[in-house]
Amino acid sequence: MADDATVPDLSVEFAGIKLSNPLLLASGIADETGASMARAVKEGAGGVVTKSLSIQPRQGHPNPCIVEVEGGLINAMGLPNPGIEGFREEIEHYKKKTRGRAPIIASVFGSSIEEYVEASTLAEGLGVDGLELNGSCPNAKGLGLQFGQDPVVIIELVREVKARTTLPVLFKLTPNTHDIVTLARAVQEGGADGIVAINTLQAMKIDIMTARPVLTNTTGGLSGPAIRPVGVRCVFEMARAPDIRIPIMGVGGISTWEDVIEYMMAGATAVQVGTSISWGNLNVFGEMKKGLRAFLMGTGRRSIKDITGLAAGVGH
Amino acid sequence: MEVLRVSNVIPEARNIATVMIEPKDIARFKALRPGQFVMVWVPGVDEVPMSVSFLGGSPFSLGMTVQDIGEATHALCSLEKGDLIGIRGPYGKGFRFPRSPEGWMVIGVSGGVGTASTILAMEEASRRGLRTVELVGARDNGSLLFRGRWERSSSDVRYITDDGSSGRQGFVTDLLREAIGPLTSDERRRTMVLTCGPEPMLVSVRDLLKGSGIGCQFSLERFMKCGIGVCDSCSLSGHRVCQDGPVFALSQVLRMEEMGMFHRDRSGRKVPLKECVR
Repeated sequence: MADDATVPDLSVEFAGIKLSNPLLLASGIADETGASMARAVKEGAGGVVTKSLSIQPRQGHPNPCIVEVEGGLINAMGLPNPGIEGFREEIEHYKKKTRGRAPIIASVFGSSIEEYVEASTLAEGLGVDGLELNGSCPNAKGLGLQFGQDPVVIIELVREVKARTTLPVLFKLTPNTHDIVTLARAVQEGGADGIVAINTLQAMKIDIMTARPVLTNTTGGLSGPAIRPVGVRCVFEMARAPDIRIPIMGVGGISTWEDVIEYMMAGATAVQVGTSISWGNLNVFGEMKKGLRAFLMGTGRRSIKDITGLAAGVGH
Repeated sequence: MEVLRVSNVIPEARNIATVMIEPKDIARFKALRPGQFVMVWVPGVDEVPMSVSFLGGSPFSLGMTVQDIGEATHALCSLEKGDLIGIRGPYGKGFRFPRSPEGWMVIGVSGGVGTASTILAMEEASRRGLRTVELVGARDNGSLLFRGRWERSSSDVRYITDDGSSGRQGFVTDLLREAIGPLTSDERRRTMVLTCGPEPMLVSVRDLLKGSGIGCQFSLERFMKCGIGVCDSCSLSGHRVCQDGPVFALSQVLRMEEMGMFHRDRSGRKVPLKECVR
C-alpha cells in the first residue's frame, strides 16, 4: 500500500522504533496476554505496549478495581502482572503471531531505582523493541508515581536505566503535577529517547447510598475522553518548549481518528489508545486508520508525519 | 453502577440461592440478552460477575443465582432483603437465536450452576416459538435447579445426575449424544445447542459437536476484574470472555487452545485448569 502514490503514508518512526502507523495499544489495556496483544495488531495497531511488568508477579488490588463515570473510567488495578519471567511466553506468542510487523514495548516499574534497572534489563532479555518506564501509576503505594513527580529522581532513574540497556527508553509521565514541562526536561536530561504522556489523573468515586469509596483502593486513576483535553494540553506544552527535542507519544482519552489528529497537531509523533477499547472494541484501530488516511487525502497531505506539531507553534 | 436494596433472596438448592433486585433503570435491563452478565458489588467484600437467571415480573426484577463456593459468593448467599448491593452492566454478548423459529430445534445442555446462564435463554427460545429440548445435569437431586421453570418452558425436559438420584445416572453429555444421534443432516442444520456448565463438560460438548453439522453456543467463565474488556484478566486464547463473550460460537471455541486447559490467576499467569475428568 505504501508504494501506491495515492494512498497517504501512515508510517512513523518514534525514538528509532519504526511503526507502520502511529497507533499503539496503551499499557494496561487488553495486554496481559500475547494473544490479546497480537489481536490488537491484527485489528490494525502499529505497535503495542505491554501491561506494566515487575521483577516479581503481583496480584493487584481486590475488586472493585474499576468504576465507570461520566466520560471515562476510574481504575485502581494495582499493577497486576505475572512478573517479567512469567511474561516470556506471552512475548514469544506475540512475536510468533505478528512476525515483526509491529514492535512491542515493555512497560516496567519497580520500588527502587535498582529495581527499575533490573526490570529493564530482564525485559530487554525478553527480546522487546523498547522500554517504557512507568513513572506515573497512581494506584500502587511506593511504586510508579513516586518516581515520576520529582525531576531529580527522574534524571537519576533514566540515567541508570540508559546505562544498562541498548534499547530505546521512553518515560511515561503523570499529569498529576503542577509542571509537566519540568518533568519532561528531566526525562530528556536523563537521556531518555522519548516521552509518553499522559497517565491517568488521580480521582475517586464515592457511593452515596453506602457512604463508601467504591474502589477497594479508595482512589484510582481517571482515563477516557474526559482526560483528553488535559493530555492534549500537556503534549502541547512540552512540544512547544524549544529545549525539549525528544519525541512525544500522546495518550489519554483517544477514541476516534480526530482525537489522534488533535494529539499529533499538539506535538505528538505517535499515540496510544487504551480506555476506548472497552466501548469501541479492538477494531478502533482499523477505524482510526481509515479516518486518518481520509483526512490526509482530503487535506492534500502525503504523510501523517506532516501533522506532528502543526498547532504547537501557534499562539506564542 | 446502580446501588440498590436486595428485594428478596430465594433458596434454590443446597448452598445455592437467587438474589433478587428491582433495578430503577428498567429500560437498560429489559434490553438484556440471555447470556449477558452483570458485575455485582458487595460493599466491603468484592465485586464479581454474575449470570442473570431471572428477568421480569411485577415489579420488574432481576435475579442472580449464586453457589456458595468462596468469599464473595458466600457473602452474596448471605445477603438479606434490604441489604445494599451495587450492579453494573449488562455486559458482554448473549445467546443468539435463529431468526425464524420455522423447523428449528434448540437443545439446552446445562450442568450444575451453569443452568443459571441457560435457563433464561431456553425460556426465551420457547417464547420465540422454537422447539426446545432441555437436557439438565446435576450432581444429585438436591442440587438440581429450576425444575418448575424447565418444565413450564418445554414439553421435553430430561434430567440426569451423577448419582442417579434424579433422572438417569450419568452425564448430561450422554443425553446430548442420544438426542443428536438420530438427527438427519438436514435436521442438524436446523439444530442449535446452547450450553453452560463446568468446563470439562463444555469440552465434551465441543468434542461431541465438532464436525457434526450442529451449531452450538457456549457460555464460558474466567476470573474477571473489570468486566468491560480493559484488564485482560479473563483472556482466553486472545478472546476477552467479558467483552467478546461470555457466549461464544463453536467455531470460536474450536480455535481456543487454552479451553479446558488453562486459565489466568489474579496476576495474569497462565495456570492449568483442574484435570479434565469427563
